[in-house]
Amino acid sequence: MKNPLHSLLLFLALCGLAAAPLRAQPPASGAPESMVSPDPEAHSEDDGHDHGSDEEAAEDIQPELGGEFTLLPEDLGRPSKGLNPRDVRAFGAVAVLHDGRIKPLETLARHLLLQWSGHDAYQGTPALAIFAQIVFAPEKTGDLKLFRIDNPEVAEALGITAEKKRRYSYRQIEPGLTKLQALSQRADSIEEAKRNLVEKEVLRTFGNVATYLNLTRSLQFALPSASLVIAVPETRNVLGLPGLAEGGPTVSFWELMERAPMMAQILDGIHEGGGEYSPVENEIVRLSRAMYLQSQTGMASPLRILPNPDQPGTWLSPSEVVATPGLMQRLNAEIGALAAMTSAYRAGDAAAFEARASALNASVRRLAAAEMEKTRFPLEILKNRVNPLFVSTVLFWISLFTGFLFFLFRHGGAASRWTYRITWTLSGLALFFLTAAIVARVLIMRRPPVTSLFETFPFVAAVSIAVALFLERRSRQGVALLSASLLGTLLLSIANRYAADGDTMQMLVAVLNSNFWLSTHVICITVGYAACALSGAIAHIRLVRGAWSPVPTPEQRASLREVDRMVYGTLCFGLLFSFIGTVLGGIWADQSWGRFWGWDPKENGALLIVIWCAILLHARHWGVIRETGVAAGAVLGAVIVSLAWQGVNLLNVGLHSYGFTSGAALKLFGYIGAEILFLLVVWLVTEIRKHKRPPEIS
Amino acid sequence: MPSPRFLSKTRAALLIGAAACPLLLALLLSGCQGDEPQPRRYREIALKSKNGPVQADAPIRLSWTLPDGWVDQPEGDPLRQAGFWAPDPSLAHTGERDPLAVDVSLVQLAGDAGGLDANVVRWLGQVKIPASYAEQVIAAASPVRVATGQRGIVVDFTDILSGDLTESKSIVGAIIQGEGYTVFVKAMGDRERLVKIKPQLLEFCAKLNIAEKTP
Amino acid sequence: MNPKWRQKAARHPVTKAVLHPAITLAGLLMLLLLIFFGTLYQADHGLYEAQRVFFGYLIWVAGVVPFPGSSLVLWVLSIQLAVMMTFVLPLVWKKAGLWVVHGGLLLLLVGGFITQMMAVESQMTLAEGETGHYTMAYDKWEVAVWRQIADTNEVLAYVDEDLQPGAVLDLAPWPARLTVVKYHENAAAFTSTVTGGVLPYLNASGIASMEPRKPEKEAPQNAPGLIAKLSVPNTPDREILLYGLESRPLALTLGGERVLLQLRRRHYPLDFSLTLKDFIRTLHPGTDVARSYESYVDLHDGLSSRPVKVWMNNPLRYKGYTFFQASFAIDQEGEHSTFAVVTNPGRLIPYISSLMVFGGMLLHFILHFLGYVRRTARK
Repeated sequence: MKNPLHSLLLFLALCGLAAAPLRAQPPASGAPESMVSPDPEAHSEDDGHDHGSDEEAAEDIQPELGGEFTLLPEDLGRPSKGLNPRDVRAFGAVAVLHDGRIKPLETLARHLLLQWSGHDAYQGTPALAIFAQIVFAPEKTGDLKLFRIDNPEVAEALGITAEKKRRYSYRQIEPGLTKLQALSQRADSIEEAKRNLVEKEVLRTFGNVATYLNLTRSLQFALPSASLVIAVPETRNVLGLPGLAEGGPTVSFWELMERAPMMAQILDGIHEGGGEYSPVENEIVRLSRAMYLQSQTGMASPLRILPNPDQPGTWLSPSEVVATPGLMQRLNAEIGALAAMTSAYRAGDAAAFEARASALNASVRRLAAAEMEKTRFPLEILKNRVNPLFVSTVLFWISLFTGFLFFLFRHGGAASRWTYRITWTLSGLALFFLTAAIVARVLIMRRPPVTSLFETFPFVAAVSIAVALFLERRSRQGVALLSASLLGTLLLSIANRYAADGDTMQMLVAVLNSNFWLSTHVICITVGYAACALSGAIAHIRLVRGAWSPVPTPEQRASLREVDRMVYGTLCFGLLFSFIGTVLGGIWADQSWGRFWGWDPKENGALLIVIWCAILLHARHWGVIRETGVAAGAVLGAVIVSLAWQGVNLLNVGLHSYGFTSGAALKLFGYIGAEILFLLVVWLVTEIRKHKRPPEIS
Repeated sequence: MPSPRFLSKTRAALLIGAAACPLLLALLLSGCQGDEPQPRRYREIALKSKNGPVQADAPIRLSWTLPDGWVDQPEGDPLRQAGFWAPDPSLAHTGERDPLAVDVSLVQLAGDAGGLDANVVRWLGQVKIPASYAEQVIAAASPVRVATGQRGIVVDFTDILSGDLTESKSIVGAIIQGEGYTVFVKAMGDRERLVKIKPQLLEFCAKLNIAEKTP
Repeated sequence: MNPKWRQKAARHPVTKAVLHPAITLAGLLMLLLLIFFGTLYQADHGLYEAQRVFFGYLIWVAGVVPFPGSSLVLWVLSIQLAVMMTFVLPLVWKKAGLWVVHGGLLLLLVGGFITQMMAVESQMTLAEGETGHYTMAYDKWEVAVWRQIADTNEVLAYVDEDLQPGAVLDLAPWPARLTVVKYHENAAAFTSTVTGGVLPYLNASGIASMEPRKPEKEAPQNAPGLIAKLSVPNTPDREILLYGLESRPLALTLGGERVLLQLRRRHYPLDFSLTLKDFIRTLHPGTDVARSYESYVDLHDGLSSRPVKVWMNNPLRYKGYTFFQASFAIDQEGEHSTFAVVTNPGRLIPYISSLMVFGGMLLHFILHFLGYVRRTARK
C-alpha cells in the first residue's frame, strides 16, 4: 500500500470488472462465489410462474440463508491463537457510536452480552474478551452459550432441547435460523402491543442472533476468508504470499488489497492480451470478483468505530468504509490499524495488539476531536469496572439482614448496639455508592439524573433512603433504618432487572430534551414517589408493631407516636412534591404543546397520588381515621405510587410511556394483591390479639 | 355514633342535592337549542406557495385492469390513486389468503415529483438500502411501455441485499413521467414474493391506461 | 378576628350539611376512581372518547347504574370550597397557609372551567415557501361553500353539529339550499371500479358509494361524509356527496357564478400570516431519534414582517395565539411543518393558582416541620 490513490483506482477497476461478467453469468458456473452471497440474478431470471409448491419455496430461501448466515468455517487452515482478557483492555477504550452516543467499546461489549445472556460476563470471562473474540476470531465463538431463550416453546420451535440454564450457543440455534427468521417476520407484522410472550421472545432472540452475526462479519475484510482461497502455488508466488504449508490456502481481503498493484498488473495484461486465460489470470479474475462481493457485505455491523470524515457526527463500521472506495482512501490508516489488530490478535501478539489499538485510538481522537471532547471515557470505564449500582444493591441486602437481626435483638444490649451500628454503616455506604452511580451517569451523559424509566429507580431509592436516614438520625428507633434497607433492596433489585435490557444510557427524543422542565418536573414527581414509598414502608413496620401489641404500654405508645409522626410527615412531603411535580408537568406541557392538562396517563397517575394524600390528610384532620388508619392509608398510597409509576407504562398510551417491560403487569398485580393481603392479615391479627389480651391488662 | 342531629344533616344534604338537580339539568339543556342552523361567514386567503400554484386538477385520468388474483385495498391513504394486494400467483384460485401479499400502490403526482433520482432514493430508504445504490439501480432499470403508449422505467431492488438482516422487504416499481405529471406503480413487500409477482406487475403496467386530458 | 355573621353562618345546619366531611371525602374518592378508570378507558378508546364519557355529569355504568361524572363531582367540590372559604375557615394567621392553598384550588377549578369553555385548539401545516392565513381544527368539521375573488375566498360555512338529517342549509346569497340526507361522523368512501359509468352523486373525486364506520380511537382520524340534496330553483334536485378526505372541492355553478363546496376541517381565519421559510430536523447521530425540530418562519402583520424561529418548547406567541412546533412530514413535495395553535384566555390561571397552592402548602408544612424538628432536637 505505498500509494493509496493508486490502489483506489485499481479497486474501482476491480469493481467494474467484477460486477460486469457476474451479471451475465448463469448461476451454476459461479460455484465459488455462492459461498459469499447468493447470485442475485438466480431469482429474477427465473421468475417463477411455476413456483407453486412449498418445497420449492423452501429451497428458494435455503441458499440465501446459507450465504448470509454461515459463520466462518472452523477449518481455515489458519487458526487463531487469541489473547488473554487482560491483553485486550486497550480495545475497550476504542470509541464506538451506538444508540446515538459515543461510548467506549467496553460499554457496548457489556451491554450486548447483558442483552444476549443476562450477565455482563461469560463464565468468568469479561464481556470485552468475548466481544474481541467475536470480532477477531468469530469462528471460535460458535459454541459459546451466549443467547438466553427464556421461553421453552421458542427453544423447541427452533429444534433445540431446552436446557436448565436456558442459554444456547449459535451452533445450537443455527439449524433453526431459517425458521426463526420466518417466525420473527410474522411476529414483526403484529402490532407491538398485541404481541404475546412467545412472539416477543422470538423477536428478541432473532434480533440478538442477527446482531451477533453482523458483529462476526464486521472485520471480515481482515479475516482469512473461505471465498478467498488461493490454491495455485504460482498465484501465491506472484502475489508474494507465504506458501500453502505455512499460511494455509485462505487469505484475507486486506492481504489481497495490500497486493493490489500486482493484481492490477495482471488484470491490465488480460485486457491487452485477450484470448484464453492462464490459470493464474483465471484465479486473479475470480479473486477480484470475490473481493468485490465481499466488500459489499456486512454493512449493518453495530461496530461503528470510524468517524466519517465527510460528514461530521456520523460514524461508520469498517465494512462500510471498505465498501466505499472514497472513504477507504481517507481512512486507510485506521482500516490498516484494524487489520493489524486482527493479525496481532490471531497471532497472539499482545504487545503489537496494544500498540495498534492505541494508535487507532489516537487517530480516531484526532479525526473526531470535537465529539470526543464531550465524552468521559475514563469515568465510564471506571464505572463499568466498579459497577456501583451492583455494589450498592449487595450492601442493601446485607443491611436488610442485619436490620432484621437488630429487630430480633432489640433489647439485647451489645448485640443490639452492634447490629444497629453495622446496619447504619452499611446503609450509609450503600447510599454513598448509589449516589456515586447516579452522579457518574449525570457526568457521563451530561443531563439531569432522571430521564428514563430505569433511572427513576436508583433516584427514588436514593431520595427515599436519604430521607429515611435523616429521620433515623432524629428518631433512633431503627424503624426508618429498616425501611431504608427494605426500599433499597427492593428498588435496586428492580433497577438491576431493567439494566439487563441493554444500555440504560440512551438518547432522548426531542420533546424530552428540554432540560429545565424535564429535570424539574420528573425530579419532583420522583421525589414525590420516594416520599410516598418511604411513608408506605414505615407504615408497614408501624402496622406490624401495632398488631403485635394492640394495647401498648406507655413507652410503646410514645415510640409508636414517633413512628406515626414520621408516616404523617413523609405523606405531607409526598403530597407537596407530587403536587409541584404535577404542576411543573402542566407547565412543561403548556410550553411544549399548549395544553396545561392533557389527561396524559403519567400526569393522571401523579394526580392520583395528590388526591389520595389529600384524602388521607383531610380524613385525619376530621378524625375520620386515626393513626392506624393513616398507616393503612400510607400502605395503599404505596400501591397508588406503584400504579402511577409502573401501571401507566403498561397502558402503552400517552406521551410518557417511554418504558415497557413484559411480564411487569403480573408482578404489579402480585404486589397489589400482596399489599391487600397484608392489610387484611394485620387487621385480623389486631382483632384477635385485642380479644385475647383484655384479662391481663385489667 | 348516629345521633338525631347527624340524621338531620344528612337530610339537609339530600335536600340541597335535590334542589341542585334541576339547576344542573337547566345547565345541561342550555347547551343544545334547536334553532335553524346559522352559517359562519368569513373571508380567508387561500394557502399560497412561493413555488407557484400547485395544479389541483390532474391532467390525466388513470384506468387499469387487475391481473389474476389481485384485489383492491378497500380504503387507502388519500395520496394513493388506488391500492391493491398482490398475493402469490399460485394461490390465485385456491381461495387462501396470502399473509405475505405484496402491497401495490398507484400514485399520480403533478410535475416531475422531485425527479427520478430523488424518488428512487426515497424508495431505497423505505427498505433500508443505502442511497449509494441509486445509480446502480437506475442503470439496471428496464424500460416499460403502457397501453396508451407512454414510456417509463421499472426499477427492481430485489437483487440487492439490504445489509440489514432484519429487513426482508424490497421494492419493484415503475415510474412513468409524462408532460406535467408522474405516475408511480410501486410494489413493496417480501423479497421472495416480489420476485414471484413481478411478471404480473409488468403485465399491470403494460395494460395501464393513462388518458391525457387535452387542455 | 372572625366576624359575627361568619360565626353564625358557620354554625348554621345548612352550612354544616353542605360541608359535611362525608361529601368531601366521597367526592375526592370518586374523583380518584374517575381518573383511574378514565385512564384505563382512555387506553382502549382514546382520549376524545374518554373525555366525552368521563366529563359528563352522569356516567351510566353498564347502562343502568348512574355514577357521578367529573363535572358533577368538580361542581360539588367547588361549591364546598367556596362555602368553606366564605363562612368557615377561621381568619387567623395560623391558617394562612390553608387559606392560600384552598384559594388556589378554587382558582384552579375556575381556570379549568374557562379553558374547557373557551380554549380553541387548531393546527396549521405549511410546506416550505407557503404562507398560512388561517388555522384548521383537528376534529371539528364544516361544510364550506365559497367563491374566489382574486386570492380571497368568501366563505359560508355550516359546522358539523348542524348537519343533522333533515336540516336545511340556506346557501344565500346564492339561490340554493342543501337538505342533509345523511351525515356520518366517520365513513369510508369507494370509487367505482367501472370507469365511464354514471355516478349516482355529484362529487369531485368520483366517489360512488359511502359506508358509515365506527368512530376512530382518536377523533382527529375520523373522516366524515355527507350526502345532501341540492335544490336550485328551476332545476331538478340532485344529491351531492362530500367526503372528508377529498383533496378537491366540488365546483358548482349557482346563479351564474362558480361556487366551490367542500367538507373540511373547520378553518379559523387569522388577521396576520406566517410564511414557512425553512424546516430543519436533526437526529442523534446514527439513530432515528430526533434531537430537535426547528421551523424558521416570517410573521407578517399588516405591513410589518419579522423572522421568528419556532422549536420544541419555544413556541411563538402572538395576539393571543400560541404556535407550537408539533410535527412534520417529508414527502415528494418537500418538507412540511405542522404547528399546533392554541388560543386560551385562561392560559395564565393554572400558573397563578398552582403557585398559590404550592406556596400555601409550603407555608403550612414548613410550620409543622419546624415543630417536628424542634421537638425531636429537644431529646
